[in-house]
Amino acid sequence: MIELQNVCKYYGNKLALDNVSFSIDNASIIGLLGKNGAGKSTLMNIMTGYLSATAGDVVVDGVSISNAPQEVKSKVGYLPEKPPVYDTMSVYEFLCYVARLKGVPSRSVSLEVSNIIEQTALGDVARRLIRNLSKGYQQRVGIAQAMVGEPEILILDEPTVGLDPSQVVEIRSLLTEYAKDHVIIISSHILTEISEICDRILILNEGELIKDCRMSDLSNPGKNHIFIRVDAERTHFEDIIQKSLANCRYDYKGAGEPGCSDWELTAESHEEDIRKKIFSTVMGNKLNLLQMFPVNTEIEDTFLDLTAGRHLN
Amino acid sequence: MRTTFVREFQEYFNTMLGYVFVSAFLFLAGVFFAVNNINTLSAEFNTTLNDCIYVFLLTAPLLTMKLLAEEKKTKRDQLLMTTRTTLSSIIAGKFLAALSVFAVTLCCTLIYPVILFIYGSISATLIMNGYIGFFFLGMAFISVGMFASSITESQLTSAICTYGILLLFLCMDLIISKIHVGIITSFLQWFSLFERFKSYQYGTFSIASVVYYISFSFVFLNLSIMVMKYRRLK
Repeated sequence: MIELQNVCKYYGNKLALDNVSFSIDNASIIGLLGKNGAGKSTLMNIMTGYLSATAGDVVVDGVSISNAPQEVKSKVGYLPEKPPVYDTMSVYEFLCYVARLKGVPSRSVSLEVSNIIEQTALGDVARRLIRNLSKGYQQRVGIAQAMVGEPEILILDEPTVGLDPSQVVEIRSLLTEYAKDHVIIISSHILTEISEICDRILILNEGELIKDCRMSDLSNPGKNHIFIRVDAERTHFEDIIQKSLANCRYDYKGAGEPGCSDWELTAESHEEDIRKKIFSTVMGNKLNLLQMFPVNTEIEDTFLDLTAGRHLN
Repeated sequence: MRTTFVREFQEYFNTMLGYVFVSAFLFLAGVFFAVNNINTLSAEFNTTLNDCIYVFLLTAPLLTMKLLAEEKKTKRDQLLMTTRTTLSSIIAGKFLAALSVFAVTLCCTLIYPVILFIYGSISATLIMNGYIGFFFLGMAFISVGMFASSITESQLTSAICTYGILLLFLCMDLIISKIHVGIITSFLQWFSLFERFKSYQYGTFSIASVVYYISFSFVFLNLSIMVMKYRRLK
């Protein structure tokens, strides 16, 4: 669907993107991660044709953006970091305007805009001026404009910024639904969001693509990093861990309830499943396991390790 | 282009900008009409029209300063430049919207020659030629404003640049009147925006001047497109 071929971008003498190459062949959600200034927005701007690459090319469905920019642009929807909205227009007027800009046939504009307003839950504010909307609603208008024309590829820069928790859930579910037959590329600083909805992640560091993998390759959620609460005092249970769970790293997290202790246990090996071992150890020592759930910090760990340059492979 | 034109035209009247421009222009044109025609009981309207050029020189940046500068400042150009609509049709749509507001305002001033026609004797051809010349001269001013708006993100800078460039063309006329070196004078006269308007003012329709004004606007609009394209490469 979309392929980046050795994309480089210089701002003056500063190298912003260094030979970035990847391809996305099927409908999925791709997370784009990187620290501030890593080149995420530059990469998105190049993929959407807003900026041109110093070298390399972006190819969508076999069509190069440098040869046929309008054809490529018609297949890509874009939400930049700041929603590009006209605040003197109402939500409905603005989305109709975007639909016409994107070449939606005149007779379909009204229907298409009404559908998008319904999908993005903007019905209550459709006739209000954009300047009178909250930041969260303006962000949703930004997402809605990107979806107008049902582009094959949706590129969203920090789509959930400014949304309240219930709106975040709604937008995530909307994106998950849209990604069933489209490609969505999301940049976000919220790593848990990336780990929850993305199928694949790309990590950029100082303009270089340093990691490109599937989420399932990156993390092993729920198996090797576990939080537990047991009805035992700290010293008593620490002895038990040292004897029976010797291959686990442990971290005391305090006493969540009187007479109890909270722990985070992490397997030494990345692939090891320690859930059964924890359960049998607690039961074997005639204690009660009051809480047990996975702690998924894999993506944060990987992100920090990679961007700190500790293991670039 | 039609989509951009309609949005931009409406935008002038969704904000105060359109009203401020129309009011300022009509007020000052009215003042000149009162001074030149009513006060002196003269039916010579093209003198008033000539004075209105300076009114438009003063007010033209109001029409153009926002066109591209504001889009860049608010990053809305990211929307315009990432849809299938071409840059040239966006620029053309914005230009035509500004030109239409100017044309509508100019039409409002037709009330003055109508008054003169009722109470005096005037030549319709003379007036019509004056208006045609003014329209094309205004078109050239707007294209300069569009270019100034493309080179900056600040509306104020855009307005100052427009004044700067238009004053440069105005100064060219002063230079023409001061130097009398045949070839240089002819060269400058050929390029002068204001010198060419004089023929219309005297009631002569010049197709060469129309072609010149259209070409002049075309060059400045193309320069605006080039500036916007250059930004993508930076």
